[in-house]
Amino acid sequence: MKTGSKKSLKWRGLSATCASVLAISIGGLCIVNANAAFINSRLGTTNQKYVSSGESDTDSTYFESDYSSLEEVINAKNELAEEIQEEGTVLLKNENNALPLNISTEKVTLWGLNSHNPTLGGMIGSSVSLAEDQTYYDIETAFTEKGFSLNQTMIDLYSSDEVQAYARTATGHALTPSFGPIYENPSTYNVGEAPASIYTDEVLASADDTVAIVVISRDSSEAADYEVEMTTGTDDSYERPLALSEYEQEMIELAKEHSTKVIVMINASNALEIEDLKNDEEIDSIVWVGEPGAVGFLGVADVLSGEVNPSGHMVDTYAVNSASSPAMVNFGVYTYTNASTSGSADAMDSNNKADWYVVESEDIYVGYKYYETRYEDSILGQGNADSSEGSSTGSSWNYEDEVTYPFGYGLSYTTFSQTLDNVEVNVGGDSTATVTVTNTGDVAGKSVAQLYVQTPYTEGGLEKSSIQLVGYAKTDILQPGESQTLTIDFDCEYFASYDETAVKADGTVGAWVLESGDYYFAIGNGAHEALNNVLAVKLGTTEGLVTTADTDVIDTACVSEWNLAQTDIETYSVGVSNELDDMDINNLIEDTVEYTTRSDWTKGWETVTEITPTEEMMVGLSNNLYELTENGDGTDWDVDSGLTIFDALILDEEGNVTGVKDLDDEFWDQLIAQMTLDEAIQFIEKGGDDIENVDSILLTRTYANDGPLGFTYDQVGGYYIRWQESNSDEPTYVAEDDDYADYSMATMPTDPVVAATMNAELEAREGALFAEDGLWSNESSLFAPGVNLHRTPYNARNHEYYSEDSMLTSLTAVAVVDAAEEKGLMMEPKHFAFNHQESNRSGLSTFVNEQGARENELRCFQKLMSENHCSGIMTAFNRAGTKFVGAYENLLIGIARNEWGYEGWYNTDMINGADYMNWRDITFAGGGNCLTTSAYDTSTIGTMAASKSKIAKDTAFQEMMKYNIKFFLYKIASSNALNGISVDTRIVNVLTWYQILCIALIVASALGMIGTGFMGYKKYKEEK
Amino acid sequence: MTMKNVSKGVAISTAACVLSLAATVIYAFVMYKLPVVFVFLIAAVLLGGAYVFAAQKGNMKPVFGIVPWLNSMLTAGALVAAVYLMVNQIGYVVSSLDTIDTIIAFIIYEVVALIAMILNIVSSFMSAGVEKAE
Repeated sequence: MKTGSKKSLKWRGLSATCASVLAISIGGLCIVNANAAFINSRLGTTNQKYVSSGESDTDSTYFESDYSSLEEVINAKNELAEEIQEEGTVLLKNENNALPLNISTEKVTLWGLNSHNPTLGGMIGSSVSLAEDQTYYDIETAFTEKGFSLNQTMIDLYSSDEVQAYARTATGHALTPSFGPIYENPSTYNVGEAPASIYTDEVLASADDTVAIVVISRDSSEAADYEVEMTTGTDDSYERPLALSEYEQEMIELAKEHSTKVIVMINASNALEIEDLKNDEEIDSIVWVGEPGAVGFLGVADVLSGEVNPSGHMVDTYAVNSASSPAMVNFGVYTYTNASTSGSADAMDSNNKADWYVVESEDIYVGYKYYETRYEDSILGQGNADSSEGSSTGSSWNYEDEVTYPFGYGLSYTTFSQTLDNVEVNVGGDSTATVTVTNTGDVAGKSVAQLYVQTPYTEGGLEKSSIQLVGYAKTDILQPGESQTLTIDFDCEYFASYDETAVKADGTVGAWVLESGDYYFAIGNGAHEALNNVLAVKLGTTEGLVTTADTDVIDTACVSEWNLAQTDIETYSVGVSNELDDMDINNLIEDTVEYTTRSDWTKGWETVTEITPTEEMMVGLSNNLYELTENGDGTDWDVDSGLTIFDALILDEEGNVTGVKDLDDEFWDQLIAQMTLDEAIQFIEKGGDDIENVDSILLTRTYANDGPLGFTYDQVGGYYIRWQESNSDEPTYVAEDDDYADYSMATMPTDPVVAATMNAELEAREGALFAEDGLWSNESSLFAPGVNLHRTPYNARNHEYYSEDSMLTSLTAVAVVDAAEEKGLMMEPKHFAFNHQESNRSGLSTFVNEQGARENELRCFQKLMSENHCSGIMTAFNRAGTKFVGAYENLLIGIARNEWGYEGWYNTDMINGADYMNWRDITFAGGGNCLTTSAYDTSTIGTMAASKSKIAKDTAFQEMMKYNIKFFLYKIASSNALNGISVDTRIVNVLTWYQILCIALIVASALGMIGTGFMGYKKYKEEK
Repeated sequence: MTMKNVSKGVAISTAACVLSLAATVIYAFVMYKLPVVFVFLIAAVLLGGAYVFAAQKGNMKPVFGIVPWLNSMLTAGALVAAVYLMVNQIGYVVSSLDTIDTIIAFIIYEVVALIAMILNIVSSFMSAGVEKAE
């Protein structure tokens, strides 16, 4: 039996084909509609057009560019990037004036495979990914452009396919990504060096009589970490990934044999182990260059050639053993005993993303605050500082054995004298120090005055760092013999100690404390020299003090004493009380961790390898912080008051914008009540790379993207992407056919280099140029800078953060952010807070005691937020204790809003684990909006839109929605987002080309299906 | 002995049915699952099975003529619907934020479902009649 003739089968087949295309087209349309915001942000398309009636004569350019063309902006950025690298490059060692080089007479051999494959930035948010026709500079191209004569034979060797086989992976990234669940520490990292066997006699001979520039490099990445126990995964080997590998050592030996002098260049954001290089007499110079971005190696060339005198200072301690700090005792992957992988004992499931924890057991002793404090105690003979616990050598702890280059250290081609002229301390007010700097050498250059303080410490009392940075200032270029007096402003609030047990006059517990006693303000070339100056004053002698280099000077004239007669626990404690009790694991489960303490340095070296969550902890770990209920009398939505976002602007008599209505003005409540509940839901749920438009209040779509080097290319593929032809009358409009239209904006040096300049003026210029990029690319918010602390050298994302020191981080960030905001770009520093490792960062429970949290990590954010420098803050992936940090009310509202007075918004990081980063907990805890497109579709909690009817019954929840939205509107009103839009602008919804394509396919395939189906049926009937 | 040679149309329908079944099993291992995908696939398997069974028995009623058409649409729907919940995950992998092994099952599923859909379309061009042979 046959089911039809050939003709009718043909029609059936065609109809089936059309039906399949129809099904795919319908499904495709659903998918693109659900992800339209994301697709638009990549393709430069839009679903809205803004149409002006032309009735208003208000000037709609609220923020103007300082440049007349995009080319000028790009040139200015490149010049600044080079300048930042020049001032951020740190000279660590310079024997026999090996540097600067005379490039007209000295030929250079670049040594090391990584001289051919240097790292310019990190992976993902800080990647240096450029347009095809955009120039970037690796070492070879930069040095060639700057007139260096390079040994081509060596370059050819490294370029060969045979040798490139030893290189790091093509993307420059060889660490195991740990974004998804991993239950073990990452295991391999290949440094990308080649064995000595690749160097033939001919190649070696070519290096004779040349200067060796040896490149030691480690790359960086988001979503990855280094780990002490890693192996290379190749025939190379190392003791630790941040120590020199066997191949690197072999290569250095060859360089020493075949060169007139040897310069080592450190191309890494993670502090490496280079004690051997420092002590090696055949190594003439060491220069740290970090990861310099797209053009920074031009600046490095200028430093090496002497065109520019180096003036950068180290942002991290370079320890002899990179794993020797107490923070390293608890770093990496630790799983709860009832994790989802624990078998019969598991109480969590994979949706919880709650399997992992880390206990920051180091208390306040991060980076130099550990090494320098233990040093003082070892000198003073207190706290068992010289015990063998924590010692790198296994014998008595000795500073010389532990630190290679201290925090803040850096040399110059000239010499400077610095005198601390005066320190004026004003508790509760502004304090200043004046420092006179004189160039005592014979080369022009800049110098940084670093001001540190030692606060009074009582053995067994409140934990105190023996030295801490309070401020810095940089001179102009000083000619030989020239002097300049610098003023360093500082605030006593930022060296007060947090006492969790202090009871204030109002009876609340927890306070910022300035204890009575002697305070020593000191300047120095880094934390160690400053501390030595203090110790020399305290001891009355320099005997027994340890210097880190011949260039160290101990000078009691660099110290100023100040005495506080009475302990002050009130001045900086208004509204302050303990908020982070449940972040201290000892408050949840007694005696889980023994914190590092300077009262006994033998303590704090135990790894917390086992935690079984209590019932109370499981509430947070299973994401059950808030449930929607029916409560209250309802909330007003869709109440038309005839307002728009433009009514937030305050205009002068001539119609010029002079400001924005105060946050406590009832206008904001009226404006938000004008939104519909659907709009509010969309605003919170879909706060992705861009904030969705809200038609009811004429809020335009607001674009926001990564990252610390500038708008990253994989998110914003050029300046033209966000522009529409309808914007073409705007002064900074960039058309697709512009010569620079597709240029990447992520070209600046990485954050540690920026911080190493210790030059607020340069940092501000970077912020201003970020804002220029915003104006020329129609972007309104930048997810930057990264202000988490370098808790350990092993975080592979340290390149996105400034430093191991909270004040250097804070002051650098404020300089950058202030200048950007001044020109209308909303800055969104990240990741608030405690994001100190990438391994299992999603859902990682981070435990820390309150003093450690407030004096280190939170101090990085405090000035930015308490003085409202930044418009927004991005929260982190991790948990604070057991609660998702983006839904941790004690931090977001308790500390930031109530104590600091923060008026900006919060935005989560990308929703990765929709159940723990759930909109319900985020909203109710004041966590702002959610950076997601459709992640909630796959979650147990489901989408916010799907819960609309429940939300509509929960008055308290809706009030929190309004609370969150208000901060956004308040900041957006004073940003470049309003550029080009005026009061007579109206939003028109339009379809994008890809939506039209889907619809056309649906129509065509539906017609085809009906037509062919009809024909087939007709044939069938005829045959019958 | 009289034996029935299965026509090409039935053979292809059988293959499509088996692949739809395989896709159903593989889809169970995909990271994020949409229930409607199972509905589409199981419906395709059941309809395909009935179609082949009827063809084998020589009991092919005219209404069965719609099965290859229906199955091509069902497998197409299953193919595209499965993408809906995996978009973000694919993005993570493309951005190096997650590893490829998290979407391997999805990729295999898509390949199998795509072949099943194509086979269903091809079979709809063909007769499901059985030819008798001595």
